[in-house]
Amino acid sequence: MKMNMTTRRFRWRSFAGMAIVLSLGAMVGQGVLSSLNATVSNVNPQNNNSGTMILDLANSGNGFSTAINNLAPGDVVNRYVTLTNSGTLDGIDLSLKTAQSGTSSLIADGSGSVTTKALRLTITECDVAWNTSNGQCTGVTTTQVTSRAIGSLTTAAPFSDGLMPSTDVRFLQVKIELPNQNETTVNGNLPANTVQGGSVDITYTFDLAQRVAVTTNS
Amino acid sequence: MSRRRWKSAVCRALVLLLSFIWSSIWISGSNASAVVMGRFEGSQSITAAAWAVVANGRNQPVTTTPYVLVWSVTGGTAYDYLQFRNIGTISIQGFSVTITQVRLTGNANPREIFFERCDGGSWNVATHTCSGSISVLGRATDGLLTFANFAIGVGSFLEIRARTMPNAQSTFETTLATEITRAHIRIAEIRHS
Repeated sequence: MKMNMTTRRFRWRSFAGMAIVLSLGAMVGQGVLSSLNATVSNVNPQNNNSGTMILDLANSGNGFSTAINNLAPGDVVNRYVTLTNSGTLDGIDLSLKTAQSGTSSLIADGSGSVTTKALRLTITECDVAWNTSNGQCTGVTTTQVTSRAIGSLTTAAPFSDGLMPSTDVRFLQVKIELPNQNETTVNGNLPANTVQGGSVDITYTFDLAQRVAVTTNS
Repeated sequence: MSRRRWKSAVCRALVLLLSFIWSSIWISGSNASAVVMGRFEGSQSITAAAWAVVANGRNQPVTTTPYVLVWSVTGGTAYDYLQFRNIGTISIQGFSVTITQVRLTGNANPREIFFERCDGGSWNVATHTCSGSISVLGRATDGLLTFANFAIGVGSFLEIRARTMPNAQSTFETTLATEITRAHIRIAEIRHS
């Protein structure tokens, strides 16, 4: 029995030793064994380049460049901007989100016994350039972002048509509205939670994602 | 027994090490497939109007408290000159005044008060005369009196004379509290630019 164990161990060790020797031999002797190699490469280097995602915004008329002052309840101010996909890649999921600071009653609606209504924003697109003087669109209009309190836009609102191929141009009307509401000022003292005399700074962020990645064979 | 524990510890360490390695590979793989995004930011400032009017004595500092006038009526007519000043940020087309009268001495009832404007001229507070023509904007003994159909620009005021009817010898305190609502400013408008 003991003899058998010794014999088996000996055989296994011999086998392992041979394997190691052969492996080393193969590595060392590879240069000699693979001396007949053939190599080929393309004469002109293949050009590979990546696409770009560039979203540009231009004011049409005043756009975002001029402040909106002294809104009275019920007032509507329409501003116009033009978005262009200046990149080489098609874009999808066009969206708008805002960051705002200032008077809270202008950012979010009041709740409970407070009935104030905050600023509303609506985005409407015209398929041709807007007349920024009178707000007329001679083409077709599409509501891209429905009316909502600006405070809710901290979460991005997707455009109803979020596709934006490369070089695509979108003519947008940005409608700002202070909903009609009544407040009574007594002896010159503004009421609590008022929308009056408030001020908000809004940063609009338009985002466009790249098209879905594709695998091409050619 | 201690050998088993040692083996178990080694196994756990190996599992942790492998988890770390695979996590790193997975995270780096995710980054590699992140989408490119185009972005544009624009900023805008928006302010809302405020509508506010106060009543103050003629040429007196602006205060945001009810205007109180005390007058003694000794058989003749009493006068008080005051201003309704627009301290808001938008022109107003009217406002309301709540009138409260209290008798301080005597036994006569409060009499009606006339609110008068001097059109096309100015008041002489010494002689109680108007160099133009006098128009009565409203009259009331108490309650809510609305002044409408005129414009007061931002920072401007409407100068008024309050006049009582002749009365028996009594002293009254009259308090004027101003109120202005959305209805007293321009209607909503739509602007394009």
